[in-house]
Parts: sequence; structure tokens; C-alpha cells
Amino acid sequence: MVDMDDRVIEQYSRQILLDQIGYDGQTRILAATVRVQGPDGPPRDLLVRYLSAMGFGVQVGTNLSGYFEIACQDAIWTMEIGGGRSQFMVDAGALLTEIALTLAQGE
Amino acid sequence: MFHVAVVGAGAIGNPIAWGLSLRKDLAPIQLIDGDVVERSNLARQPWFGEDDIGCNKAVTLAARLAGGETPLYASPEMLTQSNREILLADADIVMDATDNWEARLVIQEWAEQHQRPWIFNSAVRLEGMSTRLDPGGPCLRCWFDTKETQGPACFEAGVLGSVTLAVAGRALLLLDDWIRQGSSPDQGTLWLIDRRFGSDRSIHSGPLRCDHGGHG
Repeated sequence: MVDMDDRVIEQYSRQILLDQIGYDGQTRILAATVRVQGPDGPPRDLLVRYLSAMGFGVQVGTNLSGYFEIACQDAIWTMEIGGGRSQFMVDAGALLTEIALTLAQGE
Repeated sequence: MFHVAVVGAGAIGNPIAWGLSLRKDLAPIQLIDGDVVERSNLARQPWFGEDDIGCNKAVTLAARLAGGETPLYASPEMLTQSNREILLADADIVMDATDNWEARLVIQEWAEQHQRPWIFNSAVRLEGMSTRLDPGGPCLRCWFDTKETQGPACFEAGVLGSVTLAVAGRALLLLDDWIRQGSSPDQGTLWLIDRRFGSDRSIHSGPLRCDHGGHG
């Protein structure tokens, strides 16, 4: 488990305040590394930027085209490419919420 | 080319400004915010980093997004009743990325006076809302039936950056529609972002002419 000092708690305080995440959930997020695979470009950069900001360790791979895959240990999520940038933001937001809440809950 | 003003450069303003900066069909994008970056912003305002703590949000975000398709410029002030005419003088449409009702009422009164559309956005916990308010169509009071709707603030209830990202995407879709089709005052649509639904839901106001005169 990652031990959070005051600065870290402040940084993630709005996530820790959520019932679905809490202190334990945030420590799981900080301990987790997710792998983001998909074509290079602004959409993948956006996924990486948000996952990193939430507190995940992030590894990036490029050996996929046509869709994105976000994986953490045995859990895998995929996301189609297409529909325009604004719709991508809506869909990415929903997917990242799901990923954060799932990984915060742990086993 | 349309001039878009974004009021607020925080959790919703960050991704809205990013999305706008990658468009090729806009005049320079205006970011309005008098607030400074705090450590507690970093988890959901991901264009800011530790080195930005204490710096003005609008100035920092405009600099961070430089080099996109459309330039951005900062107005490092809070929008108020007394400066709204100056700050929004060039705006064709306003994107609300604020976190308080008072600022939204300033935008709404300006929009009513100048007959311009604006896009309301909010997010708290795992829920978000977005709607475009066109001249003559429903106002905040039509939608929420109160003059002083002030839900829980995110510093009390928490919020997730992915939720503010989804709200920003919805706001940009509403902007896309407006750029393509113009205003449609006879019907408003309130979009709800809530993970419990599985996908976004929308509520339609039906034909509704606002008679509150911008005093939402």
C-alpha cells in the first residue's frame, strides 16, 4: 500500500471525498500501473494525461490501430476510435470513470 | 469565424479549451479566470502541474495549449456584473466552465441582454449536466425552477476528472451543433452525465418560451 502524506492527500482530496473511492481507493489507484495502447496522437495523449492526473502509473504502447486498449493486470477495457473529438471526450470520460472506480475497489 | 469565450479555466475549462484549440474554424479563444492553480486542482485539471501552483489559471492554460490550430488568450479576471460588458464584448457564444451559480447568472444576464447563446455546465461527485441556452429558449430558472440553485460544491462532495472531461465533451458537441445549425430556441435539451445510466441521458423541455427575461 502507498502511504499518502498531506501533500498527496491534498492533491487527490476531491477523489478521496467520493464514497466510491475514499482513502483506500486512492491508495490502490496510486499503486496501480495501467497500460494504454493505441495509435499515437491527441486522443491517446488525452487518455494518458487523465489517467496520470488521477494518480495511476501509466505505460504507453503503440502496437494497436483502430482502437484503444487500457489494461491493468487482468482487467482490460477497449474503446473504439471514431465519432469525432467531442464525442471521444464524452466516451473517454465515461470509460475513465469506470476504470478509476473499478481499480479503486480492488479485489 | 465565431468568437468563443470560456468562463473558467478549471476542471471543465481545461478540456473545453483543449478541444477548442484543436479546431480550425474559430477566432482566437478567450479564457476568463481570475483564480490561481492549487494542488487540489491537479487531479482533474491535468494541463496544470506542480510548477503552476500559485499561477493564474487562464494565463497558464493559454500558454500550455499554445501551438494548436487556434490561438488562445487569457483574461485573468473573475467575470462580474461590472466587467462583463468589457470581458464579453467580442463573444458570440459563452461556455460556462465556472463552479458557482453567481457567475452563471452574470453570463445569463449578459446573454439575455445581447441575445447570445451560452452553454451551461456543471459537475459534482460522479454526475454532470450540460445544456445550451439559446436566446428566447429556456433559462436556468425555467430548467431548475429557482433563482438560487446552488448544489454541493466539489470541495465538499468530491468530483472526478473523468466526469468533468465527459461534461466538456458534451458541451463541445452542443457547440458543434450550434456552429452547424444555429440557435433553436423552441426546444432545450438538458444532458445528464451519470455513470448509473450506462450512457448519457437527455431531458427535453418541449416548446417553452422563457418569460423570466434573463433574471434566472
